[in-house]
Amino acid sequence: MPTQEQTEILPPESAGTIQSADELLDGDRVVYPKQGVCRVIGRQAKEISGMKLEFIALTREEDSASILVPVGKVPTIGLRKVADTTELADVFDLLASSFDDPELDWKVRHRMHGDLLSAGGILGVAEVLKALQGLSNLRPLPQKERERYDAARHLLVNEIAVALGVPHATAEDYIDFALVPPPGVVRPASKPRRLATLPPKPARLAARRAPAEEEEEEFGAIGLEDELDLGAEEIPPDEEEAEEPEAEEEAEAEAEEAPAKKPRAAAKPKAKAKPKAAAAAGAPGEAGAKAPAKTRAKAKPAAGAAAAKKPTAKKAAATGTAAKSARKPDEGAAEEKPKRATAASKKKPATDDDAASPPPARAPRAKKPE
Amino acid sequence: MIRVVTLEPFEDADIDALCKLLFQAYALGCERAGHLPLPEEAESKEEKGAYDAALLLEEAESVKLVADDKLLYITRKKLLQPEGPLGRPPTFGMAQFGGQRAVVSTAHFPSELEENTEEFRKRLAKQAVREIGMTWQLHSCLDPKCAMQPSWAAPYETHVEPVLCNFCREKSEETIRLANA
Repeated sequence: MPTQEQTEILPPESAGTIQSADELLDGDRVVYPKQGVCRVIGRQAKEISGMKLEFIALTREEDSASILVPVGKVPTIGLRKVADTTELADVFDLLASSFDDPELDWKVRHRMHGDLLSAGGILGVAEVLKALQGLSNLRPLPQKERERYDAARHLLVNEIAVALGVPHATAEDYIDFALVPPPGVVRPASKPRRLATLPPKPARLAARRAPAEEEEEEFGAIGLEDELDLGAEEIPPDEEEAEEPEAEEEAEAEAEEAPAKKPRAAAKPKAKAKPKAAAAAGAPGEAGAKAPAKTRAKAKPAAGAAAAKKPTAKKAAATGTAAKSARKPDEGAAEEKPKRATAASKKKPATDDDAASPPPARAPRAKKPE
Repeated sequence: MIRVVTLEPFEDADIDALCKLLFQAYALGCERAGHLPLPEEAESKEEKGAYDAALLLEEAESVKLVADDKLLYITRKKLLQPEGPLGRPPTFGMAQFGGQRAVVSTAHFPSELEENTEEFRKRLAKQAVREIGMTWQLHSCLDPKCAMQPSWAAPYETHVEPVLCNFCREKSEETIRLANA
């Protein structure tokens, strides 16, 4: 699929979208998303549930079906003028461009194609057609997508036929000619000049954002924000986990070689486990009860596993900070947070507190088989 | 009922085979309806000896038809369509989309296909199935074995059987059923 960088955002006006019902005159040809080319018949007033409403009456050219659009809804339903020559040039450029890798995740593909068709732009319809054609080169399309391909093709054929003033069969041949060049016709590999743009969906975005924010607030309220690494700047948990064993091994090796040596950066991850252990030991009931199931699952590898692996010795090694954080969990978290903000800061030399604490040399090793 | 009209003389055996294969494809009666002359008005101004496909369908004489009948013209003359945004596509045939009339030309058939042979009959029937399908609002298909593939696509020559894929067959059956109702 072409990347988003290639897309050019156009304001709706330039894409031919009807912004007001006043723009529509009797006899005008407009394109209704997912319905095809319609002709404006006129205005009709109707009384529905005691309300007097004014409608724009349209008739679908293909089968003369009647469509009534409330005047107030005209700007929002994606009604637009029939494609002009510039748009048609873009459509054929897209259809004739080289096949890109089709989207293989059917859910993403299904949603994207649905959105493109609902948006109603001719370029979006062409994009669906092109994408499904590309996918069919890899494997036969499932029934639903085959139907969608047919629907997209039907819409595109109708509009091209109307826009160019040619019979439908000729429009069909033009599309086939672009998609499947005949033997002997060689087209240079090219990317499409322009792709369809989807209108923003504020409602959906807000709905998506809201739970995430709520969750964050919830974790903050129960003092788990720091433990669950919710900070945006922090490294992902996978990296963190990958780093920890190495650091541990390094620390252990060093401790074996020179037990009197000052603990270095490797001591840091262990200090990281302190509040977790403290929290687990100090008030397990509270945290466990307040955190939702998802939270618990997330917290398991971080706090649970760390506490299980190195239960007592590490806690003892971290007496200073652990005791502090156990006494004042909020303060402890606040102190810890800037230290763990980035991966780089993680590898800073240990603080004086850490240095002052006894080196955790043998104790963890002895406990490991457990 | 599909009625086949020749615009030039063809072998009887070829037309009979065509009717039989069309019947097999659509499960709909098909018969030879005679011979009619080529319409002079449809002659192309761009190329001598060629015919404007859309104009030919409009101008050609007709035989007696009832509402759901389809009329298929067969010719050897080259057909032309207006040049499109990417050039002029080769025209193997044309149909009135959702209408009654369709035309098939043998001008673009591979030169090694000789008339009065099994291969020629199958190729002619395959093209006829495609054009008649357009009159039932079938679009070009993605299935390489389907007769609704673009006529110039490579699989069109390799899969010679004039059959429709499941999707196109079901769609055509539904359209025919609705038309009958």
